Amino acid sequence: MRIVKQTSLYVVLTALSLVLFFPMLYAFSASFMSAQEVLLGHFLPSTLHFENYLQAFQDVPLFRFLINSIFISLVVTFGVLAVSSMAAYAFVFLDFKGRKLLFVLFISTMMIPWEASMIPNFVTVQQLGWINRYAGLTIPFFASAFGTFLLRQYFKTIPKEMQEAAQIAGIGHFRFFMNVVLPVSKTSLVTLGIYTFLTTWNAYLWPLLTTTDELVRPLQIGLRQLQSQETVNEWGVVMAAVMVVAVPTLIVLFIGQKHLQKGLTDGALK
Amino acid sequence: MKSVELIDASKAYGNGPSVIEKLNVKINPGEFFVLVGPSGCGKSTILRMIAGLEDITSGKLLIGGQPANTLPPSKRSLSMVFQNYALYPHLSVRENITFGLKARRIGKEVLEKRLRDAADMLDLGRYLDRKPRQLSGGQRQRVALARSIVSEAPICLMDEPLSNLDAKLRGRMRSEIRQIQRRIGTTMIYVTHDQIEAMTMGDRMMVLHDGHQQQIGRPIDVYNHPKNTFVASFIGSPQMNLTPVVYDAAKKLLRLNKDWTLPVDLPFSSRDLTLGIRPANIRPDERAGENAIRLSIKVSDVEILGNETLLTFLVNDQIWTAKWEGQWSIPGGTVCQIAVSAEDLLLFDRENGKCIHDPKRPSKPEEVTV
Ligand SMILES: Nc1ncnc2c1ncn2[C@@H]1O[C@H](COP(=O)(O)OP(=O)(O)O)[C@@H](O)[C@H]1O
Ligand SMILES: [Mg+2]
Repeated sequence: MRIVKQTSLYVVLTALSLVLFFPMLYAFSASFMSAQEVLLGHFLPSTLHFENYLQAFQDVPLFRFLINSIFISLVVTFGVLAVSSMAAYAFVFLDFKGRKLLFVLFISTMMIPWEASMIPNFVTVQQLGWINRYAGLTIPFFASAFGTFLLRQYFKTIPKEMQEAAQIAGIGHFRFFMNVVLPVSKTSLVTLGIYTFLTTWNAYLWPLLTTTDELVRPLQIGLRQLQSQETVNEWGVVMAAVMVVAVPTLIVLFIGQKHLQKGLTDGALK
Repeated sequence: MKSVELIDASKAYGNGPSVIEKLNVKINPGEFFVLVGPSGCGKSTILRMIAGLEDITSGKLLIGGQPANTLPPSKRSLSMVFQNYALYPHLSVRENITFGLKARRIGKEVLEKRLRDAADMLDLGRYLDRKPRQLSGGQRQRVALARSIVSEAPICLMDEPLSNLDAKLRGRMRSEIRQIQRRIGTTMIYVTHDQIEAMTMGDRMMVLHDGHQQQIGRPIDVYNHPKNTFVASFIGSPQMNLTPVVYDAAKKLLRLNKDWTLPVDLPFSSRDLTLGIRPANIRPDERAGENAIRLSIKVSDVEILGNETLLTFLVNDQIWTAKWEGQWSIPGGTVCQIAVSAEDLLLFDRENGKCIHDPKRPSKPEEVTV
């Protein structure tokens, strides 16, 4: 009985994951096809056209875009981790007047959709002269209400006595933050880091608005650019570029999966 | 080693009611001082006021004779052991113990020596590289103690450090903590709700109730001469028997109810009182002296605890307990004679609970020497 149950479970799961994964698999397969094969609706390439990948890198500065994306995503990730963790620390471990009110105010900004504040943000960045600069693509994202909220929830589970023991031993706030709070909250930090990395990696609208220069543009824009150049015939090339965009996300996900799961359930238990 | 003195110290959280009322106590250098009282009476609050984790609403705190109200916790020359130990989960035992020392920039050699000494003293040598979660409750407790010992602070504060341990381990740690304190001579302020810990560990203790200090003294004096009904019932196990009585000055007897009277001669006029008598002072008829006062009771329950026996019976609808040495197998419902001697009777004012008659109390309180 158990074996039957297990087997049927796996069959269903495999079928579902195939359905879910089909676009990805097809994109992978199509990235090796010639334009003709794609239009004929083949599922598998007859011969492997590796030159699609070469073509993609030649049509647009895909390599430059890749480097930009990695750089921007990493900077935003570390920026968010640094700013959110320090803000969360203040909300949990420092006692000041109006702390609750400030926190509610801070959190309520999560309710404003990002698109609504896009125009004022754009104007601000423009005034600062950050159009076509990495600064404009990264710094506006450092202050994350979500990140602060997530970390605050975790920090609150750290027993108050730990801070008090540190206080008595003469360990200051910064040292306590660096040597106790951050290491203890590793899972939450990893969770937030992965989430931020992926969100930034997949961002499209903001980079589109604030960049015109290929030198700073990230991959997602490059993909779009490629698509508009190649639509009519070279689908294989576009799919090759799609794979280049998707692979880093997959790597990040695979590495972080364990941490992510643990972090999310930790949060759920709280 | 330093003294700690509280003068009229009071505490209220925010704008709330005061939870500590006008505390006055001087804790001598090197003394093992126990704060004892039921849960919620304000023991932790007092300890945290001394540590500087809570500010003092009014009154003074002197540490080593110097005003300390506004000193930050790290400048009060003390260490603290928390009820939940507050160990850092990501650090090894070794790092946990030396964490505070590193912050104080104590040299590597001194640090190593102190670590070794503390680990030897607490038998932690084998566990230095483990993480706290790989230790048992008792071992974590030892790490917390070691952390406090290596700081070599002249004052050590402990907040119910044994309450998470099982009974057997608690007994062992009691004497261990006591021995370590004697050896290093630190001034100890120890909080507990357990009167046995207070009785067995303290040089002196303070009994607290609802934020008010009830009595300060050597455990044995507090036990023998409780100042009021609260202390009388809180200290001692089984509890002291307390019953409302009326003193009839004309007939010179204490009346428990219409058939029960105890002939005693007291130096005051007729009034309402509370009678208190320790279970150990209620004796079997045949073991009591000539002058003992005898009463007959109906036994409701008997518990034989190895070499002593607890008898319970009803007096005025109140349960009394007697503790007799030896093994007495008396069936429930038996009527038997008990005896008490007049000098073991404590009498408290019914109104305010103060002890007004204590025949054994020395006329001049003994000097407390530490
Ligand atoms: N942070 C706080 N804010 C408000 N009231 C508190 C706080 N901490 C303790 N109290 C109150 O102070 C009283 C004494 O508490 P506490 O010192 O913890 O008692 P104990 O340690 O003797 O059990 C309790 O009535 C408790 O509710
Ligand atoms: Mg407490």
